[in-house]
Amino acid sequence: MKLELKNISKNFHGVKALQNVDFQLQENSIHALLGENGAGKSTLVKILCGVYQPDSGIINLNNKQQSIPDPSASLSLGISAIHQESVMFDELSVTENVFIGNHITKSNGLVDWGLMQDKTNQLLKDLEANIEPNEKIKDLSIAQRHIVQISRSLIHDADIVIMDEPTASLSQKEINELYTIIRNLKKQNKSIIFISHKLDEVIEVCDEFTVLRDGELIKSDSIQNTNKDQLITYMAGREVNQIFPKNNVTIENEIFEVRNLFKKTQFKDINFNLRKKEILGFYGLVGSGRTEIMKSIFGITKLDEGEILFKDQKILIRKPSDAIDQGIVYLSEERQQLGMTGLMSVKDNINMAVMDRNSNFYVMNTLKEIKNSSAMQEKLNIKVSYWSQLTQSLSGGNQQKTVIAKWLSTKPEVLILDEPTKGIDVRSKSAVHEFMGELVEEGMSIMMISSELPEILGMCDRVVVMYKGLIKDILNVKETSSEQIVKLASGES
Amino acid sequence: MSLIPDKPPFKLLDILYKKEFILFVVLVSILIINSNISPYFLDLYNLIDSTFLFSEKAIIALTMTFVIIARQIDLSVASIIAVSSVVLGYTTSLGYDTWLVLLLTLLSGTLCGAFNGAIITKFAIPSIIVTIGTMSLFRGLAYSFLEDSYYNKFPKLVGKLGGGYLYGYIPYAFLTFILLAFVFAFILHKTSIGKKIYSIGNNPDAALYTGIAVDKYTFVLFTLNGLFSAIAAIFLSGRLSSVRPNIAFGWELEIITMVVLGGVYIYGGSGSILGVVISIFILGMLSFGLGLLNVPGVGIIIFTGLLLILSIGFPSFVRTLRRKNE
Repeated sequence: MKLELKNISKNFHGVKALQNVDFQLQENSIHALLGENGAGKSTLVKILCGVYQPDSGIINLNNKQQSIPDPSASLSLGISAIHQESVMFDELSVTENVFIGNHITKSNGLVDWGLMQDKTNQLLKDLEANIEPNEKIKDLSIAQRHIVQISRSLIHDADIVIMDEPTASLSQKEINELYTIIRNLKKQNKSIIFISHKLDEVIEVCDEFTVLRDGELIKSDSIQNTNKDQLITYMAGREVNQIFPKNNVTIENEIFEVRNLFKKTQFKDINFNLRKKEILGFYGLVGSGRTEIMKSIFGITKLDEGEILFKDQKILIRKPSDAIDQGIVYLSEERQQLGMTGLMSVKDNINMAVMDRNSNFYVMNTLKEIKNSSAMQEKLNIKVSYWSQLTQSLSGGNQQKTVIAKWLSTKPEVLILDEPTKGIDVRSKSAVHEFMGELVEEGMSIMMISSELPEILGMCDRVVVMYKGLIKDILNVKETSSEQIVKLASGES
Repeated sequence: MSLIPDKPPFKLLDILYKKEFILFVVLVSILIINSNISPYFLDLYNLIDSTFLFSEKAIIALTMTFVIIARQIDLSVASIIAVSSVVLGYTTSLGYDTWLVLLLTLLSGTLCGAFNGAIITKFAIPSIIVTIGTMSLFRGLAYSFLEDSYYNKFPKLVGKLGGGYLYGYIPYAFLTFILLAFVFAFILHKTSIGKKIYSIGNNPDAALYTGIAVDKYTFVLFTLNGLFSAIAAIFLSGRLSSVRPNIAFGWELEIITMVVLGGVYIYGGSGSILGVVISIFILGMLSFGLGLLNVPGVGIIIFTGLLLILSIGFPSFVRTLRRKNE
């Protein structure tokens, strides 16, 4: 046994991220770690990397009990993780990136570039990778960057390599190349933990699998003993529970429609409509084009073709303010970068989209601003001590509520929510869900992008399932199953 | 309705952390030191005349404050002064009517600023690069037009504006600066325009996603900066009564120093007109005092540099101390 985790539990502020999870990694094996978003995979990986400490449980490495107090301890134990968003130095060469922090020096103290170059070359050759050591990282494809990262972990003498969705944004050809590399790693007696949402590749590449769901171990077995349908059932097989307030509103007439939206290399043939008081979900893998469509509808990026209809009228949206004036607003997935302005006050953030409405001939009316802020605070229960408090000092959940308050201040009719509950605690999460229910009751229509299947199934009336920039199907949530959605989203059928 | 106060209770100690307060203390100290060192310093006529040293730069510092708060920078202002001054001298030499001369001068600066703004927003090139380019470009235009010659004939009104006094006491340039300072303080701190400029400077992406016309604002701010450079050019040409292509050489850094010393964050998003106005007086009184002492120009530069580092460093120093105590 290479690595064994026993009874690992981890709580975050009372939320059980992992509960008595066991995990066994055999020597010389590729082990798939599977589960929906929020199932506990990344918590487990972070424990192995020394980022989190488990509340209880034992870690055995090479049959010896170990603790991993910090990331450097994890590295020196031979565990190396390759993350989706890689930390690399774009302007430096492959060699420099592979040896960063581990430069080999000659006896005179100067860096031995020649030796490092040779070693990198050898490493890449062993992996059968077609990369030159002196190429700059910025000139490499994403797949090649992964390989450079793998080489870097080999320099660290890692014998456990963790790969977090390495194929998420690769083409088929690149994926095949990466498989070769992974198999070569295995030949070099490495053990690999492979995280992926693409079940076909899991079955093709991996030897064993472990499925987590809601922080619990569901199944761990050899790949040979299972098939794809069974894996889907393991992953998605939870009853959609009642934490989602099922809104019993009567859905009314169509309010919003898009026809034949097309943007080169991002999406095409996009047709869907939204009805008043409806919640329309958008499900798909990362990179399936969901966010790109919404950005075009909101006027951030330009459509190549297609038309948008609002209340049966063709409308032209050239910039975000056009959309806002129509009553269509977009809450971005990237709260810190695109949603809020952390160094400005909560009051300023809440009123940011209605500054013109809150002023008389450009002169700000502070009273109106405070009135609106108070109304929003009451509605959303934002925990704030002073209106002049900086927004970045709020908790994630309250920040998100502040951004939602910003959009509600504009009194929108169509609300586009992009991963509205990403990275916020469970309590704020259910507050956001409850609130969505109230909004549609009041007559709003919502489009929600979410990567969490339970959220889609619990909140939405219909769901648009996307794969690689195309709509695979639009399903009525009551008449579908999580298995069917997962299948469609991974490009099946 | 739950009552959430707008601000936390007022604490006297908080004033100490305000940049404006520190700047004010520095200004008062300089006044006290100067009046002790030189008997000529506290003479009313001398003090009034000393404003001629900084009023033209101060006028541009106002629009530059907006530009820097919006997370941009404009290094071409001094070169725009050169272009506008040349236009002023040339159109006068053609015998145009005074009002037409002034109009064309202002137009030339505005166009230069609009050129900056258009390149920056259309091609999404960082303003520091664009204005380094136009700094040379505009100055080069002035040189190639004038070569070794100079203009020394301007409309009477221009001479009066540049060197004259209202009621015999208040220089027109200084008066213009003070009036504009009130207008700009009002726009920046009391209107939605000002709030949007802060939003853009703090987080341009979030501002765009909130429906604020970031590019439009950027364009207008650079255009305004050009217009104000032309206004400064009129006062300066009138005061010097001679225009050579090297007019106002190196002013861009002096103007940016005024703004940054005034507590405007160089990466955008924060600062106040009050701070910039105090900082303008600090720099003005400093060079006036040192001038009375016959300290050469190099000395003034060294003092300015030290002051800049101290006043910028002091608040972060205090904050670090405070954090350690907690």
